Amino acid sequence: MNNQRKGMFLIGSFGMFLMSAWILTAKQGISMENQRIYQEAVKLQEKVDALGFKGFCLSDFPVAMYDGKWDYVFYKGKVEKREPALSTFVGTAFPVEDHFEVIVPTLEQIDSLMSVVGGVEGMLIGGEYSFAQQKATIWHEAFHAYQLTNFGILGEKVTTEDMRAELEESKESGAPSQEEWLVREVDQKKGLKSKLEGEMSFLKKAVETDASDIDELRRIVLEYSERRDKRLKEMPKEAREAEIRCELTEGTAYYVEASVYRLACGDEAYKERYLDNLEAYEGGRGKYYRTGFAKCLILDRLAPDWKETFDFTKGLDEVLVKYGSKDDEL
Amino acid sequence: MFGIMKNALRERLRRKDIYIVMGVSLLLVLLCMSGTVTLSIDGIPVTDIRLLLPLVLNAASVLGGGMAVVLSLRTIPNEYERKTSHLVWMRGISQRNYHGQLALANVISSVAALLVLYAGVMIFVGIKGETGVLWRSLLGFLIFACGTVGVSLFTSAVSLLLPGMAAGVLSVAVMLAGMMQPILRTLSGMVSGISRGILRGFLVLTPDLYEVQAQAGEFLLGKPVDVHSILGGLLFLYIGVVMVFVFRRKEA
Repeated sequence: MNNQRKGMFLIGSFGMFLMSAWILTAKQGISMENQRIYQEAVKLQEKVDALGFKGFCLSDFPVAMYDGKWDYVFYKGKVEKREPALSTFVGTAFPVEDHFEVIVPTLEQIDSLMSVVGGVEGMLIGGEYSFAQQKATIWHEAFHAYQLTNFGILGEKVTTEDMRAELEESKESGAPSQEEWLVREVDQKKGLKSKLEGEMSFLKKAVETDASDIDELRRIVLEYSERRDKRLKEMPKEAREAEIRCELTEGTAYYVEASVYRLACGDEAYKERYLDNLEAYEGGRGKYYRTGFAKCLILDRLAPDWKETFDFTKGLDEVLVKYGSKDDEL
Repeated sequence: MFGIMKNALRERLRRKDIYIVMGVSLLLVLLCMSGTVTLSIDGIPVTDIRLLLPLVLNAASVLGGGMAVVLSLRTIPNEYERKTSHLVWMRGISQRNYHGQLALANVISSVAALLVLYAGVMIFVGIKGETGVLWRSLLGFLIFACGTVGVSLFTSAVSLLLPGMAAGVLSVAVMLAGMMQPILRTLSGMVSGISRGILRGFLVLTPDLYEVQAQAGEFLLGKPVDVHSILGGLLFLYIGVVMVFVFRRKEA
């Protein structure tokens, strides 16, 4: 009996030891990888400054990484844990109290999401791929926070209260979203879709034009603009506005993202990921990331200092036509 | 001293179906590594052992867990159905000792089955000339087998209390939930309301077997391992041992 008690005591003690060791070795807070990603993203500030968007600074905005349970907010040299602002895995700029914050999933959750969405191949895409992409995504979303904080997009300034009210309203009213307008009025209309595909080829051609042949570039841009104007006239006002707004906000953010990716991974990886599929048509808003991005690249060639006066009050097309017409040379 | 365990093992060796399951599992594991089944990223085939090894260990771990359930599910109930247990009580052997020996037989046969799969992987690794991995393979196996041993003990324990089908379903559910912890974690962050509560409950109640086998892969590749995950595997194993000794059968 005594031996049995001794045995039970020993087994119990071993269990307690194992449990304590397990609890003590548990990871607290956000992983080192995520911390490293944020720090390395911030270090790119000087190089991103060279892109030319005045006053765009990543550290101006809190960056929240959501791990499925908590947000870990990086701001002013500190990392704070809090209840999630948005309990879902999404990369976005979101209103929190009186400011806009960057919200992204943690690297681990992105890897896991890839394995859920992309199966085995997704699971294999780990390491530096996700690392560089995550840095680029943080910059992409920070650019949205910059747009919302500092500019009136197409002349309309949105405060955090406005955006919260808008999000609530869209939930309750069930009115078609930007995405739904674009699917219904562009993707599902064969004629318009094929015209847009043709325009995308034009844009790709313009991006690939010999850098020294500015006249040829202007010619392609003008022809593109004429085609686009005609197509837009065939669309209802809501879809037209959705296209211009999406191209302006997402296209420029995608341009920043691609530039950061290029800094992290080099020219070849950048070309493969962002340039080679420039004319790929994607349903909904996706294609306008590319068309907007292509226009930013063309503007870089037509007028390298275009961003100095750029204030998001006009669509990218207007800016493109402005710099694309010969009169502007004077 | 271990007569009961030896008999149970001998009986296990006589079962032909186990060899078939092991053979098919080994074939599947080898197929994954052979290039007959091609994995690719952006059209580029993945043949690097450092990318393949974690994937194959993951597959071997799931197959090993499944075999552990199959091998452990009926051992104890069969003994009771055949009334062999009465012969044991007559010799004054305690129920705890009896169950312990039968569960040990389950563990040994499950680990042996897993070893066959693991050896297949290591032979392939050897052919690829990865001697560094081979040097670490013995200790790597001890980490790798943690989850399988835990599953075998858990199955043995629940087979003492639940009818065969229920015990099997519960053991497979625990094993699969354990192997799919990263996916469940991600899903729990995507859904809301009751679904989130249920998924979080699953996550709390099941061991993270995925991380245990992943640490074996990290160790084999010479990368740093997460001690917490290995301790989690050992804790599951410990709970399995305690369950085997605590759970009692009414017929005794």
